[in-house]
Amino acid sequence: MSIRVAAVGDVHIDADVQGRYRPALDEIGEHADVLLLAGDLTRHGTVAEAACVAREFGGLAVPVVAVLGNHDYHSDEVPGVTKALEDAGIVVLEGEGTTVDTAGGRLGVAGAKGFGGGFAGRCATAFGEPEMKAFVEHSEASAAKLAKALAALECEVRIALTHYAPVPDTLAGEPLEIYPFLGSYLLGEAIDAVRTQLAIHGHAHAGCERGMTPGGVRVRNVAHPVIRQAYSVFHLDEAC
Amino acid sequence: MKDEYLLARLQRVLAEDGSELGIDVARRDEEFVLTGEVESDQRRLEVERRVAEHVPEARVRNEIRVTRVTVPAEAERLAPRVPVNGGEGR
Repeated sequence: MSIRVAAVGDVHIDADVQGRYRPALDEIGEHADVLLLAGDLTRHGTVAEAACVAREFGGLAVPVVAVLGNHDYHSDEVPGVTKALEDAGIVVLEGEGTTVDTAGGRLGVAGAKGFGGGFAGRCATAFGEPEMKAFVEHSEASAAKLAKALAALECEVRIALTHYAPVPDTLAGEPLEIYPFLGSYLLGEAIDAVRTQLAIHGHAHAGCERGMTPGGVRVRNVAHPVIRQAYSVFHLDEAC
Repeated sequence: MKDEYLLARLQRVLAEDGSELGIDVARRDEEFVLTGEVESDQRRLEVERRVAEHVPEARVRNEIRVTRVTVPAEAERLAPRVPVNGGEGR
C-alpha cells in the first residue's frame, strides 16, 4: 500500500482569492493522506493574509504540514503568521519534523524554509563583507536545521519539505543568473545525508517539476505556477 | 531611459510594490509584453496597471495567465529508488 502525499507551494493567498482552492480541497481526502504546503502561503506575510490561508487550508480531511517562504517573512510578522496557521491545525515546520500515521505506513516530514546561495561550484561563500557572510550563514543554518530534523525522524518514509530548491534541476526555465536566489546545494547535501524518499520545494515559478539530488533522492518543485493545479499527488511505496 | 534600465525598474516595481515576482516584462517595438502566472484576474489587471503607470506612452500587452486550481487528473507513482545517475534529472 502506498502513502499518498499531496503538495503545493506559492499559493499567495489573500482576501481576493479566498475560497478558490476550496472545491479541490474539499475532496482531498479521496486523493491523499496528507497535504504539504511548500511556503509562500501569503502575498506580503501579514497576519491578516495568514488568517485567509488558515480559512483556506484549515479543517481539511487530511493533516496539513507547512513551511513558510520568503513572502511570509516580508512584513516581519512571522510569529503571528505561524500562530494563525497553527490555530487552524496546520503544522508549521522550521527546523523541525512531524510524523503522520497513514494506512500505508508512518510518514515523517522534516521542514525548513531554506535559503539561497547557489549550487555546487558556483555558490556564494561566507567571505568578505558582513552582509555576504550573513547571507551565506543564513543558508548554512537553515540546511543544518533541516539535516538535524531529518535525522531525528522515526518513520518508514521520510520527506524533506523546503521553500527554496535543494537542486538546480527543478530550476530549468528560470534565468541562470538568478539561481543563487532560488536555492542552495547545502539543502541537497542535508537531504542526501539521511535516507530520504522525496524532497518537496516551491519558490521557482518558472522552473520545472522534476529533479534529483546527487544522492538519488527525487525532488519535486510544486510551485503553483509550475504544477498548474490545486495540488500534485505522489504515491510513495513502502519499499522506496 | 534605456530599455534595459526601464525593464529592470519595472521588474523591481512589480516585486517590491506589487509582490509579484514571477512576471516577465519584455519590450517588442512600442509594446510592453507581460507574461507569467498569478492567482487571480484582479492581480493580472493590477500588474498591467502598474506597468502602464510607468510607461504611459506605450501599449501594454497582457499575456499573464491565472493559474488553475483544478483537482489533479492523476497521481505520480514514485517507484522504488533507482541507482544514482539512473536516468532521472539532468
